[in-house]
Amino acid sequence: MACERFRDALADVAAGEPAPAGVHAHLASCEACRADLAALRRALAVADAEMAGLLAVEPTTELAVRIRQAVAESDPSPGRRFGWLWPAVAAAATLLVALAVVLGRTPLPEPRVAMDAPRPDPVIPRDFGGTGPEGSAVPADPSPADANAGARGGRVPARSRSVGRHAIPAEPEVLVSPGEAEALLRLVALVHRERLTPPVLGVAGQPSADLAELALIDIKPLEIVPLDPAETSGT
Amino acid sequence: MSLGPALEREFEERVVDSSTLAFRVALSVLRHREDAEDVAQEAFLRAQRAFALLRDRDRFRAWLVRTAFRLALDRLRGEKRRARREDAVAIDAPVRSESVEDAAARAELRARVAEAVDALPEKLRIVTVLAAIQEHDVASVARLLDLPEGTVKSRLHLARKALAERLRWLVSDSGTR
Repeated sequence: MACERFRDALADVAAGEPAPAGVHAHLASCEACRADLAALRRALAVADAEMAGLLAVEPTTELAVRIRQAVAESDPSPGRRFGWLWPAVAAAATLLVALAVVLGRTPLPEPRVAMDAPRPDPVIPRDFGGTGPEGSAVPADPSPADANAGARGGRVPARSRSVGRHAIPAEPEVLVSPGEAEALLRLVALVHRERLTPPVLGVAGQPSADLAELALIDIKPLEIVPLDPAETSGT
Repeated sequence: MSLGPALEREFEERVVDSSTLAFRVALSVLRHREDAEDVAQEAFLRAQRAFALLRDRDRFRAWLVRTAFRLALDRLRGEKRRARREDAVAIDAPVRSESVEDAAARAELRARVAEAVDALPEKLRIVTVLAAIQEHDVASVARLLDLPEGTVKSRLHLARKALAERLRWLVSDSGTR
């Protein structure tokens, strides 16, 4: 057991550190540890010899020629000189493409919802990420049902707006992924048809416990402001 | 070559001066002569592109060592699917009149040492490799790696200790004693 205490110190000594007094004394009296230290030193000697042998190898005489040739043949064209710019250019291009996709996204299929009752029901967001004619999100002929368009998402709140009073920006009302948007639309449609009540919102085939976040979505009626002909005629 | 005449001349001096260093650093990782030469060549190509910033000899060599080491590691990782390199190492072994058994034992020993070196953390490994190159003392390794000498000594000690512990069984079992 005493030898175990010196195992680490023996490796230090083998690697070149001077032996502390305690280790020195132990080595004087312990043949096994002396043998251990000798083995460690032989191991290092073997490693040193192998490394030295490998790293004494000379390259072929052609190496310098190859390097000169490769360097001479390397193309110092502007494209290469500005090669370091490529990551930035690629990132910018990716950003532009992503922006174009977001802005040009087509509207999701809209579930049919009975909107006959003039009650402050949960509403179906009509234009999830979509744009109306001429790039505007304003429907061509805004009906009362259309005026209800909009919703508050669970994670990213949509802005309430007064349809007809302000221009509606051509950007998504609720920033959710397409899959989430579709699920949300279906759920809201089901609620609207009174086939589900909000606390038990869910998707067929999935346990409702997994949809706790969806069930907490706060769907509030939007403020509906009657169209002002004086304002809309000017736009 | 887009360098001006003065830079060209300096770069040529670096090729003469440091191509063997780049080759050996790559060889320590790859243990394959042709691959190591490819890596050395690639390291010089990259060095040429940045040569305006690397005119100082020490700075150039430090950059070259790091680049060659990194390129060699990348290449090795990319070639893991290829067979282990014992055979390739034998290319560089001195020709001896030894028996088949001795040659096999020697190859085994070399492979185990290579494994032990490869298992070192990269910081310890590069110090070990550079120190094993004949003309490098602690001070020159420190310059090459842009590290304080104390750090190099400390890392070298840790590396040697790890190698001794890892290879102890080898000398105990192989009858090398």
